[in-house]
Amino acid sequence: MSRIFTISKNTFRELTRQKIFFIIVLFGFVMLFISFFLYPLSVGEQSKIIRDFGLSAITFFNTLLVIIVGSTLLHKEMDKRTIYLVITTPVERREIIIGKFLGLFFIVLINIVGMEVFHQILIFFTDHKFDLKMFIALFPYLFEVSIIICILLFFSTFTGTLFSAFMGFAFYVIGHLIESLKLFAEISKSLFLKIFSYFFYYFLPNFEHFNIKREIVYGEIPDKEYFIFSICYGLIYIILILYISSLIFEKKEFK
Amino acid sequence: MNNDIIEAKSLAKSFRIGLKRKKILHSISFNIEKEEIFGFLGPNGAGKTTTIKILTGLLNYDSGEVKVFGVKPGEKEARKKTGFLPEQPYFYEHLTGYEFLEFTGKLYGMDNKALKKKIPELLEIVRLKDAGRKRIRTYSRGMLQRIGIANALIRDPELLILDEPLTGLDPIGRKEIKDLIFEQKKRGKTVFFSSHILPDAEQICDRVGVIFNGKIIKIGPLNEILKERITSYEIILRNINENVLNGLNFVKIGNEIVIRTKEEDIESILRNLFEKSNDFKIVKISPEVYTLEEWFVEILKEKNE
Ligand SMILES: Nc1ncnc2c1ncn2[C@@H]1O[C@H](COP(=O)(O)OP(=O)(O)OP(=O)(O)O)[C@@H](O)[C@H]1O
Ligand SMILES: [Mg+2]
Repeated sequence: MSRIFTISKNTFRELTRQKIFFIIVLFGFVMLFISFFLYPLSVGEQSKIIRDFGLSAITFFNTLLVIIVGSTLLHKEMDKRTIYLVITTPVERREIIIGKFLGLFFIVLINIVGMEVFHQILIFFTDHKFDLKMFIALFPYLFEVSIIICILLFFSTFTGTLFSAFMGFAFYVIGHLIESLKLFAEISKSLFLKIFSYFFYYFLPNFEHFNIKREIVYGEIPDKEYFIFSICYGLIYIILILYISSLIFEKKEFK
Repeated sequence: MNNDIIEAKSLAKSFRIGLKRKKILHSISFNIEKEEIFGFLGPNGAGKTTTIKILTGLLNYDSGEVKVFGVKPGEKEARKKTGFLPEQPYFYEHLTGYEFLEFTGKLYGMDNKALKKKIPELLEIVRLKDAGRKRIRTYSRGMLQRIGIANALIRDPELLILDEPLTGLDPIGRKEIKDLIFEQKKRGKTVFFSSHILPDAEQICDRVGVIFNGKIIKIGPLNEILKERITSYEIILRNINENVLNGLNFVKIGNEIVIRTKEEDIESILRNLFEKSNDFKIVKISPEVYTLEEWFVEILKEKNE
């Protein structure tokens, strides 16, 4: 356990000591800030839009951050050969995978909370009160972004940075369009495409399960069952993907 | 139980290059005993680093049997007791030397208290006391080598595996590292290292192995290897009349006479000289020095023919 912490602390430190990292984060805040001036509409509409746009900006931006950073997590170590001095200590390889995951997860968590606090300030300027329900909207998203980190780590164990990033992005897009995949499966005439689409429909993570932005913006809070379901659904994917990644990483050679 | 820290039997390794597989190690075998300093020598591309990466678990192998501390290399049991310096070591540039040692020390299972004591000691030993607080990004080639050696020593390992530890160091640095390796042996540790710097290797090795094109072509105790090749001795005399030297192969250097001869003839030559004259002085009788380097060049020449 303490070895996982050591790895994640180092990952955290490595990323936050890079200037480029702060430039990306700053960019996110600027994006959020601009949204405030984009819609000088009537008061009632503006308060909805600032909520909706703000949440979308936060989720989109953090997904982007994770794809950019997450795809390099393992590769940087292997390309720069710093991995030699890690692998040869008594750390387990799965601890490296889990540590990397947690390191990036905590960065994103802090960034999400930071951006949401900023978002709250913007909401305060339009509505003259805070809207803490927004934090609830972002809670399921934490699972979505975690699954994306896992997918990036998974592909990084056997393919290159660019391909991993591409796959992370592809899973993100498909994960949000997965209902359409089901629709496609239903209307598809070719048996092959039907099976293919159904397979992916049931097999790939459905990120819409983690999307309650609209409900929250319109003031509805999902019930307890929803949260229990999405937590379990998310954890199953996270644990499964990390486990498979570790198995591959365990066998890996460092040339 | 035998005394072997490392055992390699018929170890073979190939790399895939494109569609083909290229054999890099052809069934090599060797044993490293406890408390010995073993020098692993060989020209560029011979397979030293590949062997070392197998011993540390960074690479798998195709066939044969390899044991480090009685288990497969790379198993946790072996990693716990091994300190490793890779060839041209790389470090996290965002960390300081101190932070890096703290990082690996923790991975070796050390707690903060132990690290607070150990790290300054190590930085002192490798002469990076002040540089320890600077980012590794700013280190010179030799400083990187030094922090790498400190890293290998962090957990006071039973076995040190060092890939070219002396490369990149200045003469004083090399001396310090040689002393350090020797110190480890005195404390009952075992050292396996590769090197191109043969005069240095000669000073510290108990045994050497020579690898060439993925095959071990020579292995044995250093003194035996060098003795095997001693072909002549020098007898240096002073105050002797040249007339009594009739028939001997000699040269005159200053006021000294140097006779070159075989080991078995030394006694008869001296007897003979004492019969003819008795007021000369024997300055020295010594084997003609044959260095590891000369030996190495010679056996590689033989192999290339
Ligand atoms: N990842 C790899 N893929 C293919 N071939 C490799 C790989 N690594 C090493 N080789 C080949 O294996 C051979 C041995 O390389 P190795 O690095 O073990 O040599 P070495 O004895 O350490 O040489 P040097 O003294 O230059 O460090 C070389 O011919 C090299 O080209
Ligand atoms: Mg090498």
